[in-house]
Amino acid sequence: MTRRHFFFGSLALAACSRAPRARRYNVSVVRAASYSSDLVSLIRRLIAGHGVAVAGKSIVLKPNLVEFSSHAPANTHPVFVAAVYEAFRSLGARHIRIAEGPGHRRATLDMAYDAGFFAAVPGFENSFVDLNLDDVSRTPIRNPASSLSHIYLPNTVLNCDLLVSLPKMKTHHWAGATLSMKNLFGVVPGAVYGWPKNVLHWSGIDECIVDLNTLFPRQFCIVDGIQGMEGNGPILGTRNAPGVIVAGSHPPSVDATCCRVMQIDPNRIGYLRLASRRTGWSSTLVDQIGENIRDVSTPFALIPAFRELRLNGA
Amino acid sequence: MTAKAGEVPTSAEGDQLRRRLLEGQNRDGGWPYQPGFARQTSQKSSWTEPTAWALLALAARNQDPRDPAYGTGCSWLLNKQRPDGGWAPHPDVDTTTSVTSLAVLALSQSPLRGDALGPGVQWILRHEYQETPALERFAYRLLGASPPKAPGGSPWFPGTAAWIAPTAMSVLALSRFVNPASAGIPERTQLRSAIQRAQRYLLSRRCRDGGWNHGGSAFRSEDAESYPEMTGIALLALPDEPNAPLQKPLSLAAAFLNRRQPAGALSWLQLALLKHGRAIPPSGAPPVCRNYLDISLRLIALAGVETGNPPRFLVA
Repeated sequence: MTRRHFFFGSLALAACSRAPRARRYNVSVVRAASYSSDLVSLIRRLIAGHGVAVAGKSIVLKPNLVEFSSHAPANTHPVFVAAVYEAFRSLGARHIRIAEGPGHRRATLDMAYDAGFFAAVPGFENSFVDLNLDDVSRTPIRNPASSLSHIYLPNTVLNCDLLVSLPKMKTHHWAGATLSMKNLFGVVPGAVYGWPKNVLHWSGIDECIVDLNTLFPRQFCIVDGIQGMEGNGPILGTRNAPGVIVAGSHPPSVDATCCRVMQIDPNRIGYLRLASRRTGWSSTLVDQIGENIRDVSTPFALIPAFRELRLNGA
Repeated sequence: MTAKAGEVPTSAEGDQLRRRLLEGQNRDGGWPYQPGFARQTSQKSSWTEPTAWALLALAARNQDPRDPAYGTGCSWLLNKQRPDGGWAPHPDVDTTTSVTSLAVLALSQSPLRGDALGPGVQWILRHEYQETPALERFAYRLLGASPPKAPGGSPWFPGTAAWIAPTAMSVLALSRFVNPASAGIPERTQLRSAIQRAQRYLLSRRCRDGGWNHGGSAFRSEDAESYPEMTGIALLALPDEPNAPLQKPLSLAAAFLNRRQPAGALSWLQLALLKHGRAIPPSGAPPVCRNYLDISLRLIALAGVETGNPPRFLVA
């Protein structure tokens, strides 16, 4: 080896070993005290603030609709969904569908009716797609975290330009917290996998959450944290009202921020840890916009099995 | 039992639903779950489940088996049988699932079934869970839960936990072949014991209120309430015996009908009460049928209400 070879070789090695600058993600936290706030203006500002391309695009809004029951806030509030719909419409979306595939109950439109979607969203029935019953396509999962090599997914969500995840801020009795990433369980078709979509449980809940999110790289998430659910979520919990909306284009970052609002340690949520291991993302790579977390954080009650999820110092 | 005048939907409702059902049939003979959006150019494709229920609905209303709509529907179903004897939910799906029970049930009513039923029944039997190993049972008991692959239960999707709906559907399908025995069908004692195991599974998964939900474990969900539709489905698959512990769920089913129910739940509950000889509370305005499954179930329930008995193919 000559001195010249040694010099350039060392230079190349040094260049390669330098860690690439980690990408950071913006997440907005804004206050919204109630569903009678001017949500349309607020959500328009969020969409614009994150530079989301809307004009001429085909948009699918994916709320969280899980039960008929109205005594606890299990579903994304219909007024919230209506506001998001109107915000995207006014920003020039080519067409907008609202789509969901509940995991336990088959009467999706009847649940939507009881939950108030027909009253809140003009022409709801004409823009809604029951993802449990939609036509599907076989979708390979490259380098899966779960034991699935492929999954059947509804064409409505596969063919859209932008999937907008509209979860409810809730605790979850298996996953710890259910937010924008877990919300994608609702795109898995019951007509193929059943009610519940038990394949996702047997293939690894955290792993399937991460796999599903890799299949939808173009997402924008707007979390309904005006009223959330604590305790034995996602159905049997009780109301908690942080009065916030959390939004961003990177689902793990949005979820990590929601966890902090809920005083849950994002680094102890299995699917966030897994996303971190597989992509190099970290919950420290989030740039907060808007409200300071300390000012809006509201402890969400945790079932005994998940008490260790509590954020240290909270 | 005959329902009193004014307590049941009129036959005009049935005629209108039948027209809607026939209009929804795809050119290939099958049915989609739901009509496409008006502005979409492509029609929704045919699926096994809505096709099976559409054929059962037509059979419940004494459809002439020579009718082209019925015949092409049966042909679609027969052509989609897989080499393992079962059916996939959709022709593009590469896995046979619990919809096999529905296909078998539908074809059991058709003279066009050929020799499709034997392999279908065998597939259903192969996918009913057998005894859980003692160690596994013990481990679940420590967790306060029931084994997910409990004996007698059937999964929606192979290899996953057993649930109420697929188990009840397998009971209804297998019950078609117990008496008399048919060619290519397993011994009736084998069928009877499979049915009894499945019925024991159903009884073991009741909610505290006496009815059924989807069949989830009691772990962390011990206070979960039952669902009207699942209560109706489970009751249809359970025997009508004087000593059967069904008084509480039957009372619950009747109570469910005092509230407005979606088309599917209303239909299942009415059929279950008819099967167990109970009076059907007035149902009020006809429910909104939101897809072809709703329409088919409603047609079957209407046929039952009009005659005072559920169709024979829904009696375990």
